[in-house]
Amino acid sequence: MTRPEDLHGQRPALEPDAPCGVRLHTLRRHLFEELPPEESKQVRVHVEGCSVCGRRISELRAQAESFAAKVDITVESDAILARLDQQAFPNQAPTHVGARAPAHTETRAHQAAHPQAQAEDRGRGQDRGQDRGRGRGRAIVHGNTLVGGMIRYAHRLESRIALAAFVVIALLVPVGVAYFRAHSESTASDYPPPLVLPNRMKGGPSLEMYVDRPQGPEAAPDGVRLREGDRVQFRYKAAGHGYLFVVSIDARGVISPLYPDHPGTSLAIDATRRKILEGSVILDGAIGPERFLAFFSDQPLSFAVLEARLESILRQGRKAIDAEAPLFSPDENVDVASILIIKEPTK
Amino acid sequence: MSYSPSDRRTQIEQLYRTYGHVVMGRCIYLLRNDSEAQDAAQDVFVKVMNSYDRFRMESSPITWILKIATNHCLNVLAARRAPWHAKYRRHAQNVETQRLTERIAPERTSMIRAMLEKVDTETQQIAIHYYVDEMTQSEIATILNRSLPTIRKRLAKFKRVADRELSHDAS
Repeated sequence: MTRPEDLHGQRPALEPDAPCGVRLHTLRRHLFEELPPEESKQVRVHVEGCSVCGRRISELRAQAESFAAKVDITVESDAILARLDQQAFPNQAPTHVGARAPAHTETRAHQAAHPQAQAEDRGRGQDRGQDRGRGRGRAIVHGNTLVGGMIRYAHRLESRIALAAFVVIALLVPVGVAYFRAHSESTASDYPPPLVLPNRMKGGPSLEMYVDRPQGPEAAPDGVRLREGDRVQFRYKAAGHGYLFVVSIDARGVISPLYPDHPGTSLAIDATRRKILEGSVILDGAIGPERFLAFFSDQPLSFAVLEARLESILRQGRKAIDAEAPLFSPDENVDVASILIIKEPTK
Repeated sequence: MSYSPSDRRTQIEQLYRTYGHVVMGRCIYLLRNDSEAQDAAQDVFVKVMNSYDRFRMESSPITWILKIATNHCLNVLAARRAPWHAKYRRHAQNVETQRLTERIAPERTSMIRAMLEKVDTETQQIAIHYYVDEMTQSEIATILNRSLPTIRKRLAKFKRVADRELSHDAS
């Protein structure tokens, strides 16, 4: 059995509490009847003769019984079911990333146009109190695309703080590892300045954007000014990474999954070629800057992880941002590429 | 595989009845807030349900669920990283409320928790599985899909950090 080293020349303060050699996890697996029969028998015999393990088994059982006595399984199951239903959106209505109007206003308009979404939102409303204002979003499919069917999902975050400062994100690449950096600056319009740092590293992964124009697709440089209703498409170079997740953050701090279009896990991608992502994104009316971030990784990333880390950067404000808090540790081997757009009102 | 709504309800109830105390124990241990822990536990079960077929194939469902719960809570904590340090310090010094998992080794688990903010997310997860759950290094390597040397390296790093902190506190 492997034990940690002694930290202070005596019984290590952090040492797993298994003086007889039977670990808590083994006892737990024994209780859950997960151990092979022979091992389970050995543990049972051992526990009968070991006061420490006997006590620990009793404590584990007491925890389970205490929990069962206190918790209403039906209520908890209802809440979990509601959250699951919330994820299973009907793919019917077109939508946008972010919105110019307050969330409730746009929701009404959206519901009026899409009764099915209205029913869906009613169901979600029951769970909203438990959602802690995170504003779980809606799933949307848009059928009219540049390449094929476009699937869109808008993940809404109810505004918690006035964004007197916002974020500019940069990539730091020590020893080939991308870091995420943001920069905040207050302006009269509460919008960040256009990105001034490069959005990709030479030879590394990259994200490119194209705008659908009457004369054909047009490359959109970083900081490009676009309008509501513009349709954009992305091309990526994975540079060896096998997974990609593209999200957007708009001027209000709303984080939306784009590829995939739901809060799942990264897409498996072609790690070696420069490829176009199928489908396109139609820009909504949320005026101001919006950043598209592509996370290239070797293991699938979950939207929950990306959202949590992005929110942590957004919340920490300028001080934390200036400290160059990384989104991912070097060992996680996640590279980030991004594109900033400035959305202007439709003429 | 698809399941009917009644199937899903039954599955959720069974899961919660069987593993609820373990998940809640982990959430309370890391989040230190009952309502947040309850919320996080529900999220964990949503994740389990989203991977229900995989869950059924796991040779050790409890190991897998502990991993999901730990990972989720660490992500929640990462989202509020700023208040993390002070909050954990405060709780580490004030351990009169010993609940659920902490009954087993309150001093050690509190100490581990106080050290977590000093290391990266993966090391946090490894340290929790090793010191709190008392999984073996090979069990941790398996569930986190990492090599044994990586696990050893991470634990050594955690111990170095803990050693430094304990020495600092003592002086």
